[in-house]
Amino acid sequence: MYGSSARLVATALSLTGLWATAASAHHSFNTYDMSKTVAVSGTLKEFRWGAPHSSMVLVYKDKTGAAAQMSLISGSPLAFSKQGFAPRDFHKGDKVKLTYHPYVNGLPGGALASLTMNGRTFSDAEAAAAIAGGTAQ
Amino acid sequence: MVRFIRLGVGAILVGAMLCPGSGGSAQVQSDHPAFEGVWKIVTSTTTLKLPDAVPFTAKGRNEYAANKKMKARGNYDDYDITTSRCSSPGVPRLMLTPMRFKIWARLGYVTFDFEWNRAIRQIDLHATRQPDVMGDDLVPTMTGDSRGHWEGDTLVATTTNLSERTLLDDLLPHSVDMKVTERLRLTDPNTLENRITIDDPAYYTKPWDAVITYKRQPDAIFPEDICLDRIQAHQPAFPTS
Repeated sequence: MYGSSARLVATALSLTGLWATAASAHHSFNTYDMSKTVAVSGTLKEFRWGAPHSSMVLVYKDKTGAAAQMSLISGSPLAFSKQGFAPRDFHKGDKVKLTYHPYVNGLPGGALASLTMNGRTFSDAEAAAAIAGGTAQ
Repeated sequence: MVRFIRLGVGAILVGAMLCPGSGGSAQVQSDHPAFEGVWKIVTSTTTLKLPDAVPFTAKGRNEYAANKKMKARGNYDDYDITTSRCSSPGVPRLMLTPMRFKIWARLGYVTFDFEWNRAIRQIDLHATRQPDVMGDDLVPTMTGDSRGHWEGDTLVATTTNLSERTLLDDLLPHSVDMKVTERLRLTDPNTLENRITIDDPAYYTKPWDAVITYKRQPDAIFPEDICLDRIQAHQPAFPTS
């Protein structure tokens, strides 16, 4: 009986630990070079909405002028919603201008800093806070 | 000790309710248990409706033609992410699966448990809507928000908030504002008919119907099905027959 209780407590504690890890993990921007901000224009291929992070695939022209794709991580649907952007505002083929903090490893893409579409701009508050030292690790 | 006995009895009761084909217990929470069971499409098809019979808008026709070109080139990831990477086919394409699916009605939901990639879709029969964890109507999803009610022996389900990342079949496009209405009824004890109405003014000039028929199959526990394994084995991600 006590053995079962102990196991339950141990499981609960380990789950709590996992939760804490998961909750803090999304604040890390270590994968990105937050000291750099790069601008790019292109068309949206895909937007994957999720929490705490969404991601998008952008089709752009690389240095050789060839069509290439990059992946960008961005905020949750609610973060966009707070600035007047809803997921249903974004469609495949939409032309967008972006700024982002590139991947440290040099792969195309990174963490979204801002997105301008149809004359309106979304600014990623979480990335900005990370640069300011608020939540960056 | 008494508590353990109570827990054990409770577990048995819950298990019996969740176990398909468990006789009388299957009817406990379902007003229309006749739908419950294993089903399979009668005629395999990749096409919800022949394109000549679909009332395209100019936008719809252009996107359909673009999808056809990408299919011919094998650029599936540019228009059909079910085929390229096993993303959910969504509604209504899931209903075209040539593999089996199981229906059960429990706790105010009609659940479709698909053999394909062990996908799930659910129709919510509650009078009041359940809150969406991502925010109501904020995020379109592959299977959308399906709400249903019974009209006599017909289950009428309306699905909205469907992501544009899905297709209606292997080619037909749709917008995020599409409304899919399904009217499911038994035409005999072993035949299930699904009349699907597509209402999407951005892509189609008027609502249009397609009718899919399924035959009842022997009750079964479905084997594991991993779509990504099929891709690795160079087999079709979403089988066509």
